[in-house]
Amino acid sequence: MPAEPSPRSATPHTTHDVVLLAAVGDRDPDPASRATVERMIADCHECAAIAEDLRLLAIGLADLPPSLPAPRDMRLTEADAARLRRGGVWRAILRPFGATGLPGLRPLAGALTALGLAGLLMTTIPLGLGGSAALTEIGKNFGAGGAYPAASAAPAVASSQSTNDSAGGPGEQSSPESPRAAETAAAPPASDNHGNAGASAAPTASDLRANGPESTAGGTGSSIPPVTVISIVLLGGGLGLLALRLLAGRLA
Amino acid sequence: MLDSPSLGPAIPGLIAVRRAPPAVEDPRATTVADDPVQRRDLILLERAMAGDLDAFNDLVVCYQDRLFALVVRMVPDRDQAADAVQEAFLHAFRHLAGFRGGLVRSWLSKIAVNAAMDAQRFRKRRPADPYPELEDESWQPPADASADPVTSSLAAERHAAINHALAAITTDQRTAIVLYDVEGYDYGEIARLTGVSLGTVKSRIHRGRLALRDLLADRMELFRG
Repeated sequence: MPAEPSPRSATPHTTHDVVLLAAVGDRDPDPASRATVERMIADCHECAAIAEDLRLLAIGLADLPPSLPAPRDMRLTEADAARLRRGGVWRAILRPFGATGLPGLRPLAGALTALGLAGLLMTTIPLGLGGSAALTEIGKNFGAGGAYPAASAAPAVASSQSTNDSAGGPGEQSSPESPRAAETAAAPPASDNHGNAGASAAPTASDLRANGPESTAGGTGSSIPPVTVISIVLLGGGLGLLALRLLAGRLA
Repeated sequence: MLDSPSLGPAIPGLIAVRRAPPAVEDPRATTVADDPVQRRDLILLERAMAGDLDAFNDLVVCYQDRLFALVVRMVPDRDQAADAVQEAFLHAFRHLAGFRGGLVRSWLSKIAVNAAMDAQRFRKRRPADPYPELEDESWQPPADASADPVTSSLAAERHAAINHALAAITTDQRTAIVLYDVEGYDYGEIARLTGVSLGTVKSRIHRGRLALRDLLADRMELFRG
């Protein structure tokens, strides 16, 4: 059924913006909306009735008692005061980590956590795609300063072609250093002159060729790739900052 | 610029104003002389800052009912409201040094509002029964002995109706309406306290009033009498 126009108004009441009417209770109403509201009240019976109700409601709200008897005594005991004073030192220490402390601490903590998680995922997900040999190669190349093996996720890790790819990366095959990189990768741990423990302890490409990926899976247990270490440090730092922030918030 | 010798003789009055000692706006100094309540509060606060727990407890006694009335309208559960007020006083005691002047009453009210909003957030995370205490009318303030019994009864009924309706609207609308219509905060202060924009505050107040009117539609005669 179409809305009937109000007797005084040219437009039906349902087309009027009643939210504007709610401004009648404001202490300092917007002059522009005040004119509109006054026109609505003058032209529409329903609007006038709503405005009157809202005005009475505003009076009723302002008339509510300013105080109500508290259900219990809120006074602090000596024990409360002593406890609160004791917490002062910790609060002072943790204040920089709180919500009102150092700006940018929260994004930093979030970024560190995200980086740490991403690093951990990067070093663990290849297990399902390219086998643990690829993970080992990532760690070894990272430690030896080699290029990141883009083909490390390729499934044919056991084949010698794939091993060569993992050792030097496909991009390096066309470069002059490629044979040297492959040689470095294929050399025994003792010849690794970078002094990286992770790299020297990791299985070499020749190990891969001789034993296949299964043997490498056992070999990784003795060493942690540097990427993983860094990721864990970043994750720990990020989570630590978040924990400090939480603690500071609780103490505040 | 205004103090330059070339402008000096031309605008002597302006220079005199400019060279007058700047007025130091110390809210404590300006309000102490005017308001005996504020003077009392500041004395108690200073003693509390010096480690006098009794002085702080005197402040608690002065304001616990007022803060409870404020908080129980925002968190219409008597126990939670009492906890929030207690938490507000603990926070105030812990941060006595954070008082930056102004009205002690406003300082405590803001702490209580924050405690009430924390309680609301807690309630949102762990929704419980919808405010059972509202069924109990015994917590209404005692009637004024000098007032006409009929008027007192009507006023009590009106207050109960408003409290019921307030408890039924959304938390955001209730907070905005209590702060604006009951406590007299302005839009800007409410926006700062609640962390939303001015437009959102206005919208919450206006829509909340309409929601209250809908809820009280068949009880409006209480307000007309």
